[in-house]
Amino acid sequence: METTLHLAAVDWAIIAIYFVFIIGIGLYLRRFTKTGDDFFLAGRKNSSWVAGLAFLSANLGALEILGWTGGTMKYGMYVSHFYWIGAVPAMLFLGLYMMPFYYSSRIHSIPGYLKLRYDERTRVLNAISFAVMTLLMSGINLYLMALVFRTILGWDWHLSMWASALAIGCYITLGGLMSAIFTEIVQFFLIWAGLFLVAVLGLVELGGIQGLLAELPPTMNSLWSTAGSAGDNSMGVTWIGIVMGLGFVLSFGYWTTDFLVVQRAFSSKDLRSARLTPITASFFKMLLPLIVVGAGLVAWKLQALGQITLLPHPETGEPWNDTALPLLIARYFPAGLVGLGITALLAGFMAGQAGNVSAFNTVWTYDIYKAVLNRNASDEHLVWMGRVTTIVGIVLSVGTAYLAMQFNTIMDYIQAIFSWVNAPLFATMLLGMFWKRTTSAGGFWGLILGMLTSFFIFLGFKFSWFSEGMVGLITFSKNPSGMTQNLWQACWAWIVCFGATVAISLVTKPKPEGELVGLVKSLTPAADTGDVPLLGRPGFWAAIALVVLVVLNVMFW
Amino acid sequence: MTTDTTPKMVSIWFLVGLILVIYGLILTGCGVYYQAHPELLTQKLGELNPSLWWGSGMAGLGAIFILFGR
Repeated sequence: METTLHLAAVDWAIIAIYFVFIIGIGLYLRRFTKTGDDFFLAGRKNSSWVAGLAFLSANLGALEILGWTGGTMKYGMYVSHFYWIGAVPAMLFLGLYMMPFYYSSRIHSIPGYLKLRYDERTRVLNAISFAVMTLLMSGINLYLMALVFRTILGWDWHLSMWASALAIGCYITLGGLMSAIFTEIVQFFLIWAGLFLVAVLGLVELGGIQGLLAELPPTMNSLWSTAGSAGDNSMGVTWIGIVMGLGFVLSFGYWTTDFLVVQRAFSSKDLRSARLTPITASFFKMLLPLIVVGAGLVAWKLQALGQITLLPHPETGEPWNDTALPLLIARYFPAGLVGLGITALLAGFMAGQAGNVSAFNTVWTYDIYKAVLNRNASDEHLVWMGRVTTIVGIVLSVGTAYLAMQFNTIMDYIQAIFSWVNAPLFATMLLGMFWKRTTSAGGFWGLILGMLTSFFIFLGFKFSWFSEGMVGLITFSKNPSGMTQNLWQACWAWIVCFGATVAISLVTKPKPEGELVGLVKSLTPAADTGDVPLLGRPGFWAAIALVVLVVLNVMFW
Repeated sequence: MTTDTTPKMVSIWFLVGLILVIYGLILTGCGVYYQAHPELLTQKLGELNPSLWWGSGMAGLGAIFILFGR
């Protein structure tokens, strides 16, 4: 088949070195992985730099980079919202206000907090939904990775899926979370080394970013000035949708409750480092549009000049945005650099997979296996179970990938799962941490109602159950884009979960206050930061991050 | 008297430095080769020989990480 990129011997050598390197890391770390804390929490000895970069990298998948680079060609600067208001406030909130409750309660996972704050059924409900979501997402990532590499390099489906799955299985089974964290940090640097150069060379060729921004249509070249009406911007959202849907519900739902990322903070050596973890990550998150939006703008301009043509999607035949970045790699990179660029993408795919698998093995082992099936399991047995679960998780991911290959429509369901699981969970967490009156019954039933709401709205849009008036009521828009539907679906799930949890809590019996110390803000003494110098305080760095965020938004208003 | 037999784990920064140096040196080698054979640089902006300066930059950065992470 016709492909975009052709690999020379040196490119293959660079890719091979990466595989040898990460499997070597796994083999090396095996000797340090003896206890449950070692395997599932990387020994709880990481600095905020290590945990912070891993926190960011667990989210920094190659699909996101490919997708948003192509997305910039469609939405322009609006893509930056996903990196700035759609991430930073939530990360700061997690570090400043939520982390003390997570970290100090010495839990292994987010469902572990739900057990302490609510009860076992809420924990198991969330653990099962998280485990299913993680495995399905992992399978979809694997499938899309194979699709991308098949399209741009002509690689065989089965080979690319199994090779990466086996490598991930090897190093996670050997070194647990520490392996995942080490490879995520290596991936972070490889992504910058391999992909930032694409944006740099593109901007050199086209005369700089200011010139490009000036040429963008008004619907794409700003962040907020066209957000007054959905019709004025390329994304079709209003500022309320951006702030409430993306900036609040989706962003807080993901960054503060998704165990895949929060697990990295749990690996920190102390509470201060854990609080600094997402705050450190927020600075690097704000830099990512340099790669994504930078390369996307270059691709947009080159397409407008007729110098590149997006490859067709193998299944739909439509121009496929995900191919924009590989097309730029082919345009600017000679042999050697091509290998580095492909390795960066491979590393991004694999680190995302490893994040899913390491979160899955922890939640399965502690929140399902130990909580329900084998309450008296020893620490040694749990480590064994974690290793077995890693292998099972990898096999199930590959199975899901094959399923996605056969039945393409299941992708719609799987990609919507996030707002079924995480958006309502954020309401449950928020009320649990900041309102001592929230009861176990309120938390459990509120979460179920929130999840059902999200699922119902998803089905309603998918099968056109809603009248025009109903669509307007749900989305505040007559012709909402898919993105707008997603945002409001998450918002309503959150609102229903929040409202139902409050209502049910008011008529049911709360837990005794003595059981909530360390879990609820009003019953927990504030952390003493008196003897920590200003430069070591999470609050100081969060304030700096907030200032940078405001400045960036004003600059591109 | 007891002796701690737990091996000391190498720093992640050392490993990051190591991979950056390995890749940086390979790319610098490519860049030197391209310098001698410019006809091979058929890509856009090939005349800038990005392998050479980007590769040496990576190797230099990697060396700093190795020193920092030892």
